[in-house]
Amino acid sequence: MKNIVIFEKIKDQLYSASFDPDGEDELDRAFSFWRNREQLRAFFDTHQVDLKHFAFSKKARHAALEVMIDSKNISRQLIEMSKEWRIADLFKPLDNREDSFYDFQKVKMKGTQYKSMLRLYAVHLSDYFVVSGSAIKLTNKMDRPHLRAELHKLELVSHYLRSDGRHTNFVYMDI
Amino acid sequence: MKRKKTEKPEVLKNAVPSYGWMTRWDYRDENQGWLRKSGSIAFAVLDALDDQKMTKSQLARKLKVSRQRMNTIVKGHENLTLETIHKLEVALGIKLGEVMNEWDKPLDKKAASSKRRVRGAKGK
Repeated sequence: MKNIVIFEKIKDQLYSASFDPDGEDELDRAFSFWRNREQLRAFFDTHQVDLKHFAFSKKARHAALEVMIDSKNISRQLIEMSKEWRIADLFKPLDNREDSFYDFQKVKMKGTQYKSMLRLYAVHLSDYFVVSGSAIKLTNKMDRPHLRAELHKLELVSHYLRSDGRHTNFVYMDI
Repeated sequence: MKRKKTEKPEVLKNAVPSYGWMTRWDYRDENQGWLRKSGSIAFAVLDALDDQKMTKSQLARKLKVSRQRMNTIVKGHENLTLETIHKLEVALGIKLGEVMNEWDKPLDKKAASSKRRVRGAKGK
């Protein structure tokens, strides 16, 4: 069973979960991946069909460049909005049918580019946000394995926060 | 407009402080010019390796550099010299001059338009 550790990434506002005590937290992991050219190219090569449906004729290399630009904008926004305690403006409910925040709600942040592929996923709690993961999303539904894994991580973090950080008999997926 | 800070939930009071990512990005901001160009070259090199079915190790041997150095080059983190750029061009039979300018798009315009989008958001 893995332990969740919560890191404070922007003082008093933005937090990030880590599922690996010796590894990176999910916010660091997101930006490391989104700025790693080799890994991005490999991702888009693996998801060629989805990329083609998402953005016809876009090559893996150009998609990777877009990710890197968008990633930079996301980081800028997080830092700028934190200065006015407005991180909440960057997130929306994960469920598009919801239109307001509530505690332990699953939320998402999209990238800044038009039709951005980038997502940060988090759990909302009293105007604080705990990042549980991230993804490059090329499909409408969250049915791809890497997106289903993000749903599971959201569930893990939501459960952890609900239980005040106490671990229960919740079964952890080997992420 | 600045919002009012809310009471931090108990479960977050024991969070581990970790602000290092912002410092790393300060470095990237200060060096973004050459880092972008290095990144574009990295992409071009990876594309060429794919096209020519060559491995990084084979290219490293051609350039007489270590595998570790080659990894740094393809990650786009290397402050490449003109000599190294020329050697890459010769080894791979590609031109890297145009590639270095592909980042010279209006990144600030994109960031500015995204700022306008966010300020219009209603917390949804």
